[in-house]
Amino acid sequence: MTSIISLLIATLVLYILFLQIRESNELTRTKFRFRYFALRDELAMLVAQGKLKEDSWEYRHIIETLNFHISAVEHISIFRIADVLADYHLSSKEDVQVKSFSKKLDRDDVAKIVFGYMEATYDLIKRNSRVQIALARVIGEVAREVDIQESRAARIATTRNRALSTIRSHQSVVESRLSVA
Amino acid sequence: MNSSKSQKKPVVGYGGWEFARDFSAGIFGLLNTGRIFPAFGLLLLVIFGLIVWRLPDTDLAFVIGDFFDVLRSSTALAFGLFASSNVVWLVLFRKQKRIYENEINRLSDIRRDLFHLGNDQVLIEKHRTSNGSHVESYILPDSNDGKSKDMK
Repeated sequence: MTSIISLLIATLVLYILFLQIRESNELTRTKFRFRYFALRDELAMLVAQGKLKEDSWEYRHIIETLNFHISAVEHISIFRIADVLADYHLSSKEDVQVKSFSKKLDRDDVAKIVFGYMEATYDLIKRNSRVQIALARVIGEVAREVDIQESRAARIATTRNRALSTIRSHQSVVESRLSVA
Repeated sequence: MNSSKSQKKPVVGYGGWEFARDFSAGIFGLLNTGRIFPAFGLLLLVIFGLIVWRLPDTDLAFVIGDFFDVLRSSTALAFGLFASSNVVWLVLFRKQKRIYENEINRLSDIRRDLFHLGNDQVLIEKHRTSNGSHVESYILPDSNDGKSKDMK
């Protein structure tokens, strides 16, 4: 009987821990949703102030992108979204498109918003990958030493790490446009 | 024909089978959404409830006594967990407060800016919101899907 009671108490304690972790993840989702809201409002304000046309490609495309990200943060789990975004940012066409996009982007204020979007996405992936990336480094080192294949979890973490570096390099491309514009 | 349609269906009572169906649906719902821990907790509660239910009334007091004995035998741990869990809640509430306050301040700044735009304000015709389903879209348009035409 004592062991069942101990198990019950341990379950209650762990349940409180579960609630706290869930609440923390919810707050993270809210924080990133608000960051994307802020970027979208900033862009809409440019239209309201008459600095940008509502039917311009910049406005339509960036609003669509931000809305997709807001929707993803609202509906996809905080763990899954990091994988989805990391996969996209590592696609082969990305580099070419970043350069082409940056050349066409001739507005300083819009480039700042794009830079902010990349920063938010970078932080979102990093928030969910820090521990995995650190562990993957250790696992990768060990795997090389004993000449065995890396585990799936380690490969995912490595992919996210590469995605973070790619986003940083894309940010620097947009940043260089910022200084030119 | 009409009379048969208008006949009311007999009211089906909610019995043990219906409860079992709903209960198992709830448990599978918890498992499917990755909430294994609450399902495990519920199972333990059911086991504990069964034991208490099957006990004679005279032995019930001993079970309650055992419960407090377990707590008493690890008082330091219990108090430690109680204190640390409260600290975590406090941190979470503060974080929540900060996030929402920042958002309120940001929205009030936008409202102020819009109030002072005067006649220069351009109205946005199409309301673009994140509600509803969304086509997958990133900041850089795919050159093959035709969206790149917009960029010209």
